[in-house]
Amino acid sequence: MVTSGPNPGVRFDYDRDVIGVEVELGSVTITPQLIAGYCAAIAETNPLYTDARAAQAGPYGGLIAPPCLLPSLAFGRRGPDPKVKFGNATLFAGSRLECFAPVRAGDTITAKTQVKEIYPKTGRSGTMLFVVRRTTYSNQRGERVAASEQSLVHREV
Amino acid sequence: MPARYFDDVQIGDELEEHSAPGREDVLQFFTATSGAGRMDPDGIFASEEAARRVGAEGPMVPGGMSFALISRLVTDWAGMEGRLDSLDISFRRPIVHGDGLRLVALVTDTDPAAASVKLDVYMENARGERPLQGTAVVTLPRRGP
Repeated sequence: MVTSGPNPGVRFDYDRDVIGVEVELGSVTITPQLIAGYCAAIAETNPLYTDARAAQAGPYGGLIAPPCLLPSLAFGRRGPDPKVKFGNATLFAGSRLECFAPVRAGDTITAKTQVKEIYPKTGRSGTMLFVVRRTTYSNQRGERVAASEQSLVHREV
Repeated sequence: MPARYFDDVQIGDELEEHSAPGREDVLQFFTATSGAGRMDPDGIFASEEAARRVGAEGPMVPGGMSFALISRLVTDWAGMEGRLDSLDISFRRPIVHGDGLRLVALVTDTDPAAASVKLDVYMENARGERPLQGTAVVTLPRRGP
């Protein structure tokens, strides 16, 4: 579908039908090895995430994953694709993470995602098109542990 | 790791550290998560040429990695009893491999009823630009009576 932009002559081509359609991406088991590799990659030092023995004596009674792990993971399938045809560059514009419950070593986390909104914006560097995806993460007991929103910007450079 | 108590935190408290993530660090991050092939289909996190095509000065540090680094700054400060409730980040310009970054978190508000603390967070490069900035909310334990 072609949608008019905020400026005359600027047009965006994307598929509106995917907006709001939630898709399950898959599940990942959060192993101690996965947590350890991630912690090493970001030089994490909090014993909650790096030291099983210390974490056992901590508030959760065991090792948990750093909160930012979930939005970094690939869960298998890709989410709905709005097939944006605008600009020649796509960059990360924003990321929001909400944490509701700890992710424990051994938990199996399932991610569901949707394209929440698509909107244009015109600034000093010209017109851009933002695509916002919202992903929710649940554990094997069906408890929602986190949600993230990630915004990509399509623009001409 | 010392505990961080809500009672000890004051508006204006600031924490900072320095980081200069490079090519090896980015590769390690991809390996630890899901692999560069999936996360970098355009090559902008590894290839000079691909990065320049999207307006960056060189291969970039992925947003997910800089998000993780600023998150770590906050969660390490919060200690074992602290809890990150939310982190909201805007990426304003590319961070390229080897950029010397100052990671900063500044306490801007406290909520005694909830024992929660709001922080402004940002990364600053050597040119004084802030390629990443946002806010974090953490809940901290209270000191015993």
